[in-house]
Amino acid sequence: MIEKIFYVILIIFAFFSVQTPKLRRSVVYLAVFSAVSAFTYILMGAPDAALAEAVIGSTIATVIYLAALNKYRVFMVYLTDEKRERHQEEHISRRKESILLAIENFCILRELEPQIIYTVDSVDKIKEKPGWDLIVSKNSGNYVLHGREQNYHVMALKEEWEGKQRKQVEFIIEKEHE
Amino acid sequence: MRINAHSEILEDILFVIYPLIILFGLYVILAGTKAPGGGFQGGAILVAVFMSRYLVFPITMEGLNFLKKLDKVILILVIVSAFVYLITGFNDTTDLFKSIYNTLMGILIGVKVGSGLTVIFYTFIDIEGGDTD
Repeated sequence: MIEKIFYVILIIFAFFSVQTPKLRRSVVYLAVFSAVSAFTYILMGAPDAALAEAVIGSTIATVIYLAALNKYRVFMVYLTDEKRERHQEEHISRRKESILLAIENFCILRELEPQIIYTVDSVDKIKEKPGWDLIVSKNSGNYVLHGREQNYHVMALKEEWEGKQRKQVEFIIEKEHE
Repeated sequence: MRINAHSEILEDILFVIYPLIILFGLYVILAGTKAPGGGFQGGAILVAVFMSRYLVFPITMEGLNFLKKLDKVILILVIVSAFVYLITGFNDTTDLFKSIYNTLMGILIGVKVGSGLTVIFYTFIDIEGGDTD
């Protein structure tokens, strides 16, 4: 009887790990899946396999997945508002900018992990930092998006939004230096 | 991008947990002849030490070349000891020799798996120039 309960739990977590839109959550679901499957191995009388599954499935594989996600799938978005002196926390949590929601939807479709940084630095200062993908600067209701030509995610975003004809958005694409 | 920026709680807990993980790994390796466990599982537990180290200090490890060499040397030792065990006829002798051989093999495989997986993990992290932070 108890085995059947765990089989059902396994199926549920497998389903979650496939269905969740954020990859980082899906990695956590996979780790739980591994731990539960290790327990079912014990119930079925295979402690050796259970030990290997617990160690490799829910420790090593999880860490490797997380490291891989951290490396390639993070889409760094800087939101800068040069006029303001600093971002207040209430402002950030209460009303999320609609453009950020649109960017997050875009990221979910492309399996990216959006990482949004609120700042008051100038655009040029942010461009000196390594690792930025997109800079959104707010300018009295209009948004100016800075990107680089070699970043194909940004180019895809540009194509998608130009098709929809958003009025308040302007793209500035930096050409690659040769 | 770091999984975690500098965190004192993680650091302190890690130093408490390190010896426990190593002890557990050694236990699984040595008890593998009688109880569930063995070289492979124990070695994989030992890798958890290096991996948790990466989570707290996301830097590449020094001494990776040593581990690579150790990996190769142990592989040769595993093959050689298996041949020696078969050729010299120890396998027909008492149970004492068998258990000694099993334990030795467990230790060798544990070290082999531990160093091999560590090398794989850190090589994987090093690809594409490492972290940008």
